[in-house]
Amino acid sequence: MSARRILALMGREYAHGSRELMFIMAVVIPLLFSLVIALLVGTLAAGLPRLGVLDLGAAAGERSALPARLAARESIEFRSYADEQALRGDVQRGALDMGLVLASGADATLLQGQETAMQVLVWGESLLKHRTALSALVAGEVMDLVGLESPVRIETVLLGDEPPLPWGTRLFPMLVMSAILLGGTMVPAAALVQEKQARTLRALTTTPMTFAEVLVAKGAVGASLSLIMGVIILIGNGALGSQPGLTLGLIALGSLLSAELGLILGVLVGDISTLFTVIKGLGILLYAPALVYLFPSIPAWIGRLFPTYYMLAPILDTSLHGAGWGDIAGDVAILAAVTVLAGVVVALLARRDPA
Amino acid sequence: MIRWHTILPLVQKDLRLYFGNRFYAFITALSLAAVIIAYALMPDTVDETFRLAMYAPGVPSSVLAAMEAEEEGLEIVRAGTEQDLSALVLAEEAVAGLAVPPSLGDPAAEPTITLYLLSSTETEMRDMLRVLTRGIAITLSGAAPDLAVSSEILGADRGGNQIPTRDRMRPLFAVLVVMLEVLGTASLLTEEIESGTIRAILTTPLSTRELYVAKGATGLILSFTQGAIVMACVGGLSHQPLLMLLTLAEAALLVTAVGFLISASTRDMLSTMGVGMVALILLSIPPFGVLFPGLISGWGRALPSHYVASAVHELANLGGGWAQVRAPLAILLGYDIVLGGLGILVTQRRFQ
Repeated sequence: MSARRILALMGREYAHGSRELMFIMAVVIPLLFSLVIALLVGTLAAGLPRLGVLDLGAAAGERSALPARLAARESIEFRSYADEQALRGDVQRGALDMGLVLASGADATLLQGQETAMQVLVWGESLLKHRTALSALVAGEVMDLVGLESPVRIETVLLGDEPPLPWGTRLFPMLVMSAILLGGTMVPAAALVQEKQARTLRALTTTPMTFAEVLVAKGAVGASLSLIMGVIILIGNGALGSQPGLTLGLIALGSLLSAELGLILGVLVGDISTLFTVIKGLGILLYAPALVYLFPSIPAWIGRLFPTYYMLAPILDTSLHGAGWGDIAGDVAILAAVTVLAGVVVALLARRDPA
Repeated sequence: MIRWHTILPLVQKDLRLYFGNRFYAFITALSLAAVIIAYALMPDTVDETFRLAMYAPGVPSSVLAAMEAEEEGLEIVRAGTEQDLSALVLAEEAVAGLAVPPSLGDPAAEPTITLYLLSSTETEMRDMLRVLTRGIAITLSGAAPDLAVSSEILGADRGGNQIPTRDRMRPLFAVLVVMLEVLGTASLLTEEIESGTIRAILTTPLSTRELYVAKGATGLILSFTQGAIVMACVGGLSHQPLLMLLTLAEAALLVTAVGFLISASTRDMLSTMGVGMVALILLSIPPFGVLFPGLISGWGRALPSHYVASAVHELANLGGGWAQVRAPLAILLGYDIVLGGLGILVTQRRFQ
């Protein structure tokens, strides 16, 4: 096996293959998915009530303390406005559930115990519970502002022992899987099938290059792309964890397994249409552990039935939950065993007639 | 003058090729089935209220009923004991439980409301429920601040009558299913360009315009049929079906125009697919504005699929009619004409 020939083919794959649709998809889809999750979970899908406030006294130097108090609440999305038209426009188009117009000198009249005018604009499609929550919030903050004593103390009792599981955390495994599997599996598989369809694979192996070297080169491109995308996604989401070296090692191992799966598919499948069909069929099996993370009501042991669980779980444990080597050694051992097994299958396939 | 007898064989050939490819046929059927199944599995109601369990031995039922009637976003489930209260929360039959002491309203007694929450309740929701609990306490104790609130509802008031998320997704389904054919339509022409048959075809009496019409008809049939099937299955044709079909037809025309413009301006199938993917992503943005109101501001109107999404939303979800959709449909037709004309022009310049 010649390292020079493998590197030459890898260079060609990166130079020409990077313009292939599959390569572009392997790069773009995880980034796009990451963006969509950030957008949806950070704002919209979180389902928080959205409140906008226009303080008419601000321009006249009689700024109310209420907007700052409301902005500090984490249970709402808050925006401040400088003119009524913009506030009204945003309520009208549903960017806000409620808009509040505070009259000039509102704080002073409130503190004097006088009746204080407050204009409320409500988006017609806002949920009733959001209207109720925002009204309660404004009333409570006004009471605090004017120093009215709260009629009760509130003591919170938490039942059960399950920690909160935000949507961002639930969707993260899917994101990691797409970053590792798209580049690692699809790119080498599609590259091999394309070579077969264009009849360039036989031509390639009539040169001094062996079929095994072709597989190593294509697999290395897939694995390196998968590793790069995995790292980008983890860094982009601030999830490299407290032991970045360990996390990187786990992504590298996962990328290797992913590339081996891609090579097996690429060797066994004859044309691109069949490849897509097989991947669609296998997709549910590959992504099943991520689906188990997505829906906590599914028993966790089900995820362990799928080999890709051992690729995903250690990465999530180190990156999100601060796990160390001792916590993940068992899962990593299984991942290593599966990777070796897949490697043996690839080695056996490398002896076949490439075309 | 278009000679239909020369166009029809070309359309028939393209349709035969499309459905002759088992992979394309399979994927097409699979994607339509996936959309329809996803719609069927999604909830058809909107959870609009906070369902709170309440153990309040000192508060008359009439007071709680009055509060429930006043605050439409609240739904109160009464618990007989504090144990029942926590059981209701643990069984997730209520989002929170409030144990209200009989001494509420007597500041000298320093009353305490115990708020029961599941430990898995997210931080923001915990804050929200504390705010709500305080609001309830303020209401029950009559300690509310003196505010003269004037309220104005902007837009149709859908409080208690919200559009379920799956119905809000109808414009997304329509746009995605129809616009996905941008790739198919573009590939129809690119295949002829790559294999060199386009020059052979154009040396026959078939004109560029007729070639465009033939390929356009194939793209139109494929995208329109798929859009109509999906809309029929997700209830999009139950109100003003003719207007909905007209909207889908205009959307299919748009797809054909964009597909040909891409095909005529790119070198090979790979670049056609690359540019097609970008176009597809851009065209898919506007329906998200229906799904998440307020997400997309004015710039979304520059994308022609905004008018498809807007018309589908109006017809399928808001009960609109011709008066509401004539403007978006007219603008969409304008886009169809301009982009279609550009497509013919670019194809003509390239091959003649």
